[in-house]
Amino acid sequence: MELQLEVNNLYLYYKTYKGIVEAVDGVSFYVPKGMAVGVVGESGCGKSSTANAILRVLPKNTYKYEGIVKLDGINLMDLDDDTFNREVRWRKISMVFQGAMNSLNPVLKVGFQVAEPLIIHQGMSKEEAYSKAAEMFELVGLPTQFLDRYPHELSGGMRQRVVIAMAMVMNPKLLILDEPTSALDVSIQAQIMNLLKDLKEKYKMSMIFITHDIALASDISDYMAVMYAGHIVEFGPSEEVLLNPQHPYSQKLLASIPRLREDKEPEFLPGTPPGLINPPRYCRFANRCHKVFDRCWNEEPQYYKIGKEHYVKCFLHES
Amino acid sequence: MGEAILELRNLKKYYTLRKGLFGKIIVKAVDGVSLTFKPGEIIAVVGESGSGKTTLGKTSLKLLEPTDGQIIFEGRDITNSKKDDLKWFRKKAQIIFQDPFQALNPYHSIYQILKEPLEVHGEKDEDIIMKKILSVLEEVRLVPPEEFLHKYPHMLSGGQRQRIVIARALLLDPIYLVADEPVSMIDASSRAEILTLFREIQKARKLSIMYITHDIATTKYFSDWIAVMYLGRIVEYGRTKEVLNNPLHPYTQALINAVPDPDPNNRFVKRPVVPGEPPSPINPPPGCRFHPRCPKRFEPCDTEEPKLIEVGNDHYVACHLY
Repeated sequence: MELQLEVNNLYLYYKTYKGIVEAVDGVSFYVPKGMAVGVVGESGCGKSSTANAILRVLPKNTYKYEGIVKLDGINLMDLDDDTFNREVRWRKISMVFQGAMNSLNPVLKVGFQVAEPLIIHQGMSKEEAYSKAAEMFELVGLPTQFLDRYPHELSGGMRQRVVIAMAMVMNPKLLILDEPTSALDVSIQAQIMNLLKDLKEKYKMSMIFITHDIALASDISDYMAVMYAGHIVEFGPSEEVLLNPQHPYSQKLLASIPRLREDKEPEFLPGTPPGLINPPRYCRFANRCHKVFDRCWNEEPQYYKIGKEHYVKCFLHES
Repeated sequence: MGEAILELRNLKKYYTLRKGLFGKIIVKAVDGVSLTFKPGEIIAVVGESGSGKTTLGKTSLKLLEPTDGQIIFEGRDITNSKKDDLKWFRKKAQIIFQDPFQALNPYHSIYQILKEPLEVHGEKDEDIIMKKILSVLEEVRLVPPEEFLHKYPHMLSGGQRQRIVIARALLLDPIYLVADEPVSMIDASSRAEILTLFREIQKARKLSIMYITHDIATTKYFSDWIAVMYLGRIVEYGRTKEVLNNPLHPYTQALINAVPDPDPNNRFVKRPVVPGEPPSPINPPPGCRFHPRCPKRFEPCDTEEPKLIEVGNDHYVACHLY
């Protein structure tokens, strides 16, 4: 199996007046070529920060940024900012940011907004760039006449397609999607998910799909990473994580999802995750865990490999 | 289940938008909706943005003036009642908003937040106020309640805040509640907890609730009836189980198909979807409002508007197929 992306012990801390926020705290996972990895977790668990760390979109108050991010075997962390900008961002890894569909420039036609990076970064002529933009529009299921429209003339679902077209225009190898459907109605959400499935299938696109909705993640993900309080607590093939979850948090999270097609009362998970400023130095889930024992209160568990590609950060699986 | 608490009869709410100097556009946000709420029953109003579900909820509370139709509350017609004559109704009918982060005044302690509605409705006795506040906090499981009194909203999690919002709505012992997307801003792991707790309280108090949601999956656990709305009209109505297991309207079917359960096999199949997006309620399509997107449309759909008819088992649908 060839890996598109390999993330190893990635850290991203922010400095605030209240203290250091340990948003991404030693995160490791990988994305095989042509596969989608769903990163799921509750708000504030570090999902978006992980994506930002991979794409090196760092705020000014970054306090600690280290680890290994390998794309096609090359450690991106060795590249200086200029090289990263020129060669990696948007060309090899691109991202659909959360709420991006509402951040389109309202005074520019959407066609220009898709074509612009080609003109600026790739030195294409205007005609070339527009024909590439038209190609992208077809790819994401938008009529090419829409190139001449302004964002306000498009519905939410169409604007989301434009944003996906923008992310695809430089033919990246890895596409990161951060809650790409959370602002859309369910019927439009299903249309966008079908589009993403198409892109993955036709272009062998590797993807990281970030969402708080584990059911939605299952709609596209071959692998799943469950995040909790800055850590990935479980990682593995979707079949394993969804049908045979081993971390108590994954188990509870899955049990709390209302299901339309099964007769199961949702269980609940009392309590709240710890804050990421001065988080506990023992297992971060200990205070909510139904299987907690002495050791959990004293040290932080490592990743334990419990299956071919199944990893769990929990003492229950030490042996 | 006894007498109806609230009856909405052919309720309409139109908005008038101005266009140019003399032009007028009418938006038919709610266009002829009838619902009957009995004690202890939850009706889930399900629909996408622009379907008119929130307008329906607010109009049912007279927070918006209805354009036409009737609102009968405990047998009294309050459709045209003036503000001053509605104080008794305001006590008995409450609303829970979507966003617990905006619904609470950040400068007020939980005690102040909960004291306000009691004071507004004339309670002056501090002891009674304190007793009521403590008991309602216990009811929403914020225990021990004394510990929460002097906290401020920012010190609470989203789930806890929403419980404060629920507690505030319960303080005046209402019999009818509109819950407008009460859990959509809350994390997935706390949603089930809030809805389960809310359901217990609702059963214990025999409350009638209009549960407004876009998430049809939660209706399974938090409703007795489902009303599916599309562009201001109810297109399907029935008992929750019946509608979920045997959806008849193509739009309801599409809504259910669009919601995945967590299942690794999802990724190998495409979800059946309805094309397009809901048209604007400013200019709804003629005939059946869903026909431009409907996979099963046929002859009369684009000219004749289907009526909501009973197809058995208290199950109603507005579709020419039936």
